[in-house]
Amino acid sequence: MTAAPHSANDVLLSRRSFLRVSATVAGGLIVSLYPDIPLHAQEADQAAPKPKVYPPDAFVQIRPDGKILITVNRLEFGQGVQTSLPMILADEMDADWSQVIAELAPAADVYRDPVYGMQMVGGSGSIAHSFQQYRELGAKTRAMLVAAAAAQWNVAPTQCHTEASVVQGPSGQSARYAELAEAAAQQPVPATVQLKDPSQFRLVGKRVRRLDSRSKCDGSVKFGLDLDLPGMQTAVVAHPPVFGARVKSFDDKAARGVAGVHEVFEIPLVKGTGVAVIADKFWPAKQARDRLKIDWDLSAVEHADSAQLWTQYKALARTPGNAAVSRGDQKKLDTVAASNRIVAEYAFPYLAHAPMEPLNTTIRFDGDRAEAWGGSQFQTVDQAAIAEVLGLKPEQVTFHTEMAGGGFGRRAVADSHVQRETAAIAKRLRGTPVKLIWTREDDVQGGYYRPMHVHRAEIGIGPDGMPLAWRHVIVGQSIVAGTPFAAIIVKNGVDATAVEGTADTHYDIPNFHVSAHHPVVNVPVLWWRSVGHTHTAFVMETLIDELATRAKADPIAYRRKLLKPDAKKLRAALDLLEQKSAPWRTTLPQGHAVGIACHESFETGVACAVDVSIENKRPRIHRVTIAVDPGLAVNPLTVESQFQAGVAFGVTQLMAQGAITLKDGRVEQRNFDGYTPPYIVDAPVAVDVHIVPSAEAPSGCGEPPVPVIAPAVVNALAKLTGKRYRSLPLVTV
Amino acid sequence: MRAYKAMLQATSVILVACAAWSASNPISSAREGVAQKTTARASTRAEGLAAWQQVYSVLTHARCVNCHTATNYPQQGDDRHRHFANVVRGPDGKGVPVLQCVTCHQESNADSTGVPGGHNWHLAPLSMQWQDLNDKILSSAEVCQAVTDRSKNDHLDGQGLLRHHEEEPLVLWAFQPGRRIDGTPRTLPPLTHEQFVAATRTWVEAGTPCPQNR
Amino acid sequence: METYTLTVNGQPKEVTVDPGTPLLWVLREDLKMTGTKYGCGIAACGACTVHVGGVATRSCVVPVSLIGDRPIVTIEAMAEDPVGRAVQDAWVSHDVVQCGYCQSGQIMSAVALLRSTPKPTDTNIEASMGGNLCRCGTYVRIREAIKTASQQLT
Repeated sequence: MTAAPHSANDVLLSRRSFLRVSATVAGGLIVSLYPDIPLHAQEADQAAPKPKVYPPDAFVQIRPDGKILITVNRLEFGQGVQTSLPMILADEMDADWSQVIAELAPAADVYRDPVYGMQMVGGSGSIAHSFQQYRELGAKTRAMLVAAAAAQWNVAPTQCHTEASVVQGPSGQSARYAELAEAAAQQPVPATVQLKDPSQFRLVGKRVRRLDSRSKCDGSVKFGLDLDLPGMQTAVVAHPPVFGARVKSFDDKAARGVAGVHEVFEIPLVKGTGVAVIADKFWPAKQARDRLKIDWDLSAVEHADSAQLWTQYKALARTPGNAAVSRGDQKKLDTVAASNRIVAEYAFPYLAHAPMEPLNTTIRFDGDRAEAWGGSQFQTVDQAAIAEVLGLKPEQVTFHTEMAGGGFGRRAVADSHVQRETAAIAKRLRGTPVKLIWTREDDVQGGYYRPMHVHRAEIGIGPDGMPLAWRHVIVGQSIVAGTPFAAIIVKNGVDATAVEGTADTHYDIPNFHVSAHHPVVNVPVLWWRSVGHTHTAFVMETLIDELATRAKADPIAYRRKLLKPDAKKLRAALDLLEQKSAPWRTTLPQGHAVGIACHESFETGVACAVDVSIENKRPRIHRVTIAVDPGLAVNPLTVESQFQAGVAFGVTQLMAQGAITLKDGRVEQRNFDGYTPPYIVDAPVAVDVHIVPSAEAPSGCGEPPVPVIAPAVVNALAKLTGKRYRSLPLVTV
Repeated sequence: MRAYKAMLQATSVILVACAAWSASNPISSAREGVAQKTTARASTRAEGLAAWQQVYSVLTHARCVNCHTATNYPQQGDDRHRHFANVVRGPDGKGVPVLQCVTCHQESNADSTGVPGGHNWHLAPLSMQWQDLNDKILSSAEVCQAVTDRSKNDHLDGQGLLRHHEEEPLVLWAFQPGRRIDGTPRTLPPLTHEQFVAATRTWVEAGTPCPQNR
Repeated sequence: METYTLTVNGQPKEVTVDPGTPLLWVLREDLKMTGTKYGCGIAACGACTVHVGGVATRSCVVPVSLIGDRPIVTIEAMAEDPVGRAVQDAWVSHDVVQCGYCQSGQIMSAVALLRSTPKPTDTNIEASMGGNLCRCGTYVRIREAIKTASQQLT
């Protein structure tokens, strides 16, 4: 039977249905989840608005050869979502996992995060927010395949059984999904569907290896930076040495003398201007940029300076800010004698994300449309930004999501600055595709850092050793100020991402007052994997440890006592940690110490114990035992991987050269020689991960590993050296 | 008359004997203020020590001392910070598998990428350490001791040391150290290679004297 | 511009480039072999690791003019190499990769290590892999996979 021609106007779309099924020209079945939109214009309803034209939006495609292509509505940048989301769908669909292949969805509203309402990766929400969505997609697809088979065999669907891409009938009938796809496409889309009982899961909850492993081991996978198109040019941009500054003039004679260089011109940046160099290849472009003589106008922008900022921040921290949380009696603290108080000031520097794949985007502008490629955590935002620069509508820009070499938040940028730079160049090069590459130097010096922070905490300790009153001031730039996110995230002048982990602590702290100041500084800032928790967890967990030490209490017992009764996940994690670390925690060799930390972020409770000694004047992390309650662990292998590796990522904060500093507006670090992330010697040697068994809805695992490691390590160091560590990075131990 | 002539003869014999004695004995006390101008003459101890100070100033310049460490790592840069990427000495001073010196350092300078290079790039052996374990440069006396100790310096005598300074590729490299990644030329030692060799020669001809004080 | 004939994975390849062009960019852009990655350009991260004349080499800092006739081997050849294959299989069985961007360099480094030290100790692994950066932090599994590959090969 020949396939019906592919058309956006499908007969089966009903006004209330949110699943659209269409047949492909090749005879496959496409199932897609569509937002609740009015009936298509092909229906005789003149009042319905014309639907937007989207690219072919689909989540599942069953190919005639039996391969099942599942489209993932997320960027894959290491977190394993390109495997775990297909697992969920394939499980409900009873698909043969060995036939499943996955692709990353291009920018399109249909791929938006169901909770956040926009297409993105962030907030550790991929599984948490799309678990139900992908289950339903899988279940509905299965239902339609079964209905098609049942119709062919003249049996009831309930008499059919599915397994490994095969429908079996009650009397030995059997049909493969590939054979049924066309007929299934004609079936009505079920409005509701029965999901599996968890006991029926074949994939979910199992340790399933990644689909993209081999291709990432043999050099065949293509990242955004690897893109090659016919006639493509490569661009690099000279950015101002002080954020937001402008080009006054430039001399490109030497630059243009480099063979392979074609164009040099000024481009607008989100703030300020820069100079773009266009060449056949990267190396000539970079050589040419190095030969540019640019006269910058640095006068009209603030020259941020770390030393000045520390002074300013520390002064601000001594004054109350905008209230984030205020409960109990503010004055209680004043009644506590000085000898029963802790007054602690903490300092955290700017941090660069430095994902291994430097930032890049490729765009070809054809006048009435454009095509873009890149690893993006904010595809539709970037698509819209590119469209704006090119004078197009977003739907005239096809944005392909490429595999990304890490992100950690760096590819989720509200102002789409890299895409805008690229679009400005593509506009000029009309018809020729151009790939913009940021060098590592561009990346380290290019801003969008985890903001600098100062905390000042004053704790009054009661006679039982528990906190009686707690006053906490946090100073740091607002990440979302000036972005559309501000409306949701900033309340009463407090950016929630700056106080999360403290203001919403799960510790039962009476007379608790947290406030924040958000200085405006000419340094672009951004969310760095686990965001506010990167600094708040460090402060909370080191202070709690100090309180426990003063109370001569076991650090785990103290936390258990102080946690709110309903801190279910943290309590579960702490209990499991205590059990799993018991064999080694009390029998450490001379020169080793244990450090404990627990923290909940993105609704996942984490507790860890570290075994640390000091070697060559640095902390040597021999072992980390982690217990985590992430709700249902969809892929325990991925969860384990995220935690084993996420704690290594968290060690970035401890590295001696783990800070971005500015002097008179200029970033002082240039590359990994000045901003040095953890190598294998710096990372924990062994990490054992234990997952609290749970049937609760899955919560995130991407960010929760990060906040606990730095405080756990310094809590161990405190035992070895007697010092309290309140300033990161750890320059000296 | 005859007594006076005999006395002159005796004195000149003694003078000649003294000169011969001091020329043949390398460890002799300084003969202050005596200018000796013949080309074949040996340097005085004072000249030797002065020449040694010049040699020392080169040996302890960053371009040389960065590879004469006491630790298991080389240094880099004029500020002599620890070499990045955790490169280590290894059993022969050539690094370890995967991170050998020649993993990056080729046979000549790579100016386009800012990586210095020379034949057989490697660390000086620990017996030739000119710093302490805290990366502090050793004194002139200590370095001189190390350099002239034949049980430590690969059995080089004075002539061997001179040849080493004249010909060893990595020594030569220090005087043509190439460009950094930012295009600026690396800082040179305080002497040219010719001056360094000349100073070495003077020092060797003085019998490679070492200062006694710290 | 100069013309060089390079031996890459056993094949002669002719390129005409500026002599100062790092081997990395010749591989990626002139030969379209993008398996070898750009991570930093100053040899600090190891993503660009290839084998030149049998020695692990950081291709981002070696100008093509200094290669000479030394054979070049890249990640693309590892599947056909017994040590390379064992390492890749171990990487897959241990589910090492996350974003994967550093892994070409990690694998090339691990292969070089195992060729010289078939039974590396923890100390060997840490010293030899000590210059390869992984921002995702997959170090724990890299250690385990190297040990597995070693067991497979010996």
